[in-house]
Amino acid sequence: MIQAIWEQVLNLTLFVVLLRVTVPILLSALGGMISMVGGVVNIGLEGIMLLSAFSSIAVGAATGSWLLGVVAGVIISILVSMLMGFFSIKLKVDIIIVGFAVNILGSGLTIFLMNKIYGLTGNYSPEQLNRIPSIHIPFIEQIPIIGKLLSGHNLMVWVSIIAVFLCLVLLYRTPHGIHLRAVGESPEAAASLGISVDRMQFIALAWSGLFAGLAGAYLSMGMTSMFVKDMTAGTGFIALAVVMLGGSNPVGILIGSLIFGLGSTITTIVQTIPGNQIPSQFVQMIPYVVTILALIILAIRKKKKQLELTSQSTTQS
Amino acid sequence: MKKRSLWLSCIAILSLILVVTGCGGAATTKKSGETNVLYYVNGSLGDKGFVDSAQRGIEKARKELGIKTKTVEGGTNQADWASGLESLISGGKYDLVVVGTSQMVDSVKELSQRYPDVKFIFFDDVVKDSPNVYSMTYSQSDGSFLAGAFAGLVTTSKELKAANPDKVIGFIGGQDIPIINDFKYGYEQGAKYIDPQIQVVASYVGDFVNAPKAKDQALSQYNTQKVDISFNVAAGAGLGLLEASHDVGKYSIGVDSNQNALYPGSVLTSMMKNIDESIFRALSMYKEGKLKFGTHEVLGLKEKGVGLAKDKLYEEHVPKDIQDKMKEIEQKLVNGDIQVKSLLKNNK
Repeated sequence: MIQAIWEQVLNLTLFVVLLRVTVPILLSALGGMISMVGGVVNIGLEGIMLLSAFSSIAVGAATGSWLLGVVAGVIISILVSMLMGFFSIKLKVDIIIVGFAVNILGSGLTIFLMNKIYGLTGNYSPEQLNRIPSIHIPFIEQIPIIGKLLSGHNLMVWVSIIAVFLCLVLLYRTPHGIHLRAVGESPEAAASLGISVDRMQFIALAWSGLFAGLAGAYLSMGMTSMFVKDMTAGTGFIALAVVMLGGSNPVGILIGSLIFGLGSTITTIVQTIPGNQIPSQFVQMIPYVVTILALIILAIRKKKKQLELTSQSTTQS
Repeated sequence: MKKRSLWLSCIAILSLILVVTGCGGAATTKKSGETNVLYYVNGSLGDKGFVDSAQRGIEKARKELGIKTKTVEGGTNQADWASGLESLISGGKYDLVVVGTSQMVDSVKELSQRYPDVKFIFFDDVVKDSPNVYSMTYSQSDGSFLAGAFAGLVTTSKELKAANPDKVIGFIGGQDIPIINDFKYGYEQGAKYIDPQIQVVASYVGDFVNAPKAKDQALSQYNTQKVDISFNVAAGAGLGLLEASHDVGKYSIGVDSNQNALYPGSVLTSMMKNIDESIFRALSMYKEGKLKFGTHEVLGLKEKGVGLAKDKLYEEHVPKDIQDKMKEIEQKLVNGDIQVKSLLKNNK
C-alpha cells in the first residue's frame, strides 16, 4: 500500500491532486488571515464561499463567460462581508454571531434561490458552461517531469499562488498593510495616529470577501461545473483552522493549507487503492488528525519560545 | 413602569398562544373519506435521484388516485427530522405518512407507537414490530448485481473505445454504512459473475453532498487506477463522479433514478430503485384497503423494485452484444437461476 502511494508521489499524481485540493483552502484561509490581521475574525468564510459558488455559476451560465461569473461571485462576497462589517462594526453585534448568521444564510439562501430561479433544490448543473480554464504552457508541457509540474493546472491554482505573494507584499511592504496590522494589534494606538479603525476593518473584511469569493467560484466553476447544496462541506472551517495555524504570515498560511491539502489528498489516494484494507472511517479521519497534531506541535513550540523568553529576561535582570 | 411592560408582554404572549392554537384547531377538522398523505423528506428535494423519485410517486398518486398529498422538506440538519416529523403528525391532519431511509427508522418506530392512529409507509429500510407501519425495501443487491455485471461487460469489452485492457472497475459510495455496502456487495458479485479476475476499487466520500471530493476520487480512480467504469452510490455528491467520467472520456453508472441523460455517452446506464413505482403501488393498495400494515416486503428485480435504466441513450451508446447479455442475465435473475447474496438480514 505504501508502495502504491509512493508510486503516485513519483509520477506526480499526488502533486497534481494536492494542488487542486489546496486551492480553495488556501484562498479562503488568506481571506481569513487578512481579516484576522485587521482585528476582525471572519468565521463566515464557509457561507461566503457558498454564496460565491452559487452566484458565480449562475452568472457564468447565464452570460457564457467564466470571467463574468468569477467577478460576480467576488462582488457578492465582498458585499456580504461589507454587510458583516455593517453589523459588527457599526451596530456592534458580536462578529462571531454575525459570522454564524452568514454561514446559515449561505446554506439557506443558495437553496432558496436555486429553487426560485431554476426550480431545483438539490443541485444545479448547467448544460453550457465555460469553466475557469486550465493553463497549458506550450513547449514546457512536453518536458516529462517539469511539464506535469507546471502545465495543465487550473488558472485559479496560479491565482492562489500569486495571492500568497500579493498578501506578503500587501501586509509587510505597503503603508496600507502597516495600517491594517496596527489596527489589529492595538486599535487605540492606531486611532491616536489618525488611522480610522472602522474604515480599516471594513477594508479587512472586504479583502477576506475577495479571497473567499475566489475560492467559492473555483469550487463551482473550476473544480467542478455544478453547484450542489452545501458543497463547501466544511472547507471554510478548515480554512479557519489554517488561519489559527499559520497566524498572520502568508507563507505560514500556504504551508498550513498544504498540510490540510495533503491530508485530504492522501485520503483520496488511499481510498482508491485496489484491495485497500483500512476501514474508510479511519482514512477519512486523516485531515482532522493532522489538524490536531499540527495544533499540538504549534502549542509546544509556542510554549518553548515563551519559556526561553522568560529565562532570558530573568538572566538579564 | 417595569411591571406594566411585563403585563403587556404577558398579554401579548397569551394572545399569540390563543391565535396559534386556534389555527391548529381549524386545520384539524377534515372531511371524512378523504385521504391526506404526508411525504416527509429527510433532506431536500432536487437530488435528481432518490427523494425526487419518491416525490414522482407521490405526484402520480395524487393525480391518478385522487388523494390529497403534502410534501415537507426537512432540510439537512438530522437533529431536526424527528421533531419536525412529530410536529406534523401531532396536528392529526394526516392519515398516512410516507417516509423513508435508514436514518429515520428509530424516530418512526417511536412515533408509530405514540400515534397509533396514524399509518406509515416506510421505504428503503424496515421498521420492525410496529402494527401501523408498512415497510418496503429494495433489493439493492439485485440491482447492483446487474450494475456489476454491466460494468464487468464494459471493462472486458473490446468494442467500447475507452475500455482499457485492465480488469478494474470503480465504486464510489456516500458513507461506509450497511445499505451502501450492500450495493457494493451486489456489485462485486455481478462483476465476478462476468470474470472472477475483475477487481473493484471502492472509495467513500464521507457524506452525500461533497461533489468536488467525489470528483477527485473518481479522477484518481480513472487516471491512476486504470478504472474504466465506476458506479455512483453517493446521491448528490455522486454527480461529481459522473462529471469526472465525462471529463476524462470514461464511463460511469448512475444510481437511484435515470441519470443517463446527464452526460450521454459517459453515463451508460443507471441502476434504478423504482421508488416512484413502489410508492404508487403501496398507495393504490392502501386505497383499495389491501396494504398490510405491520409487514415488510422486499422488492427485487422480479417485483420491478429495481432495474437498469434502458432508454434511447442506452440503446445508442451500449454495444448490442452487451445489451443482449444483460437481458440474458436479467432473465436468469428473475427465474432464480442466479442467487444474489445480500449483506442485510432483512433482504432475503
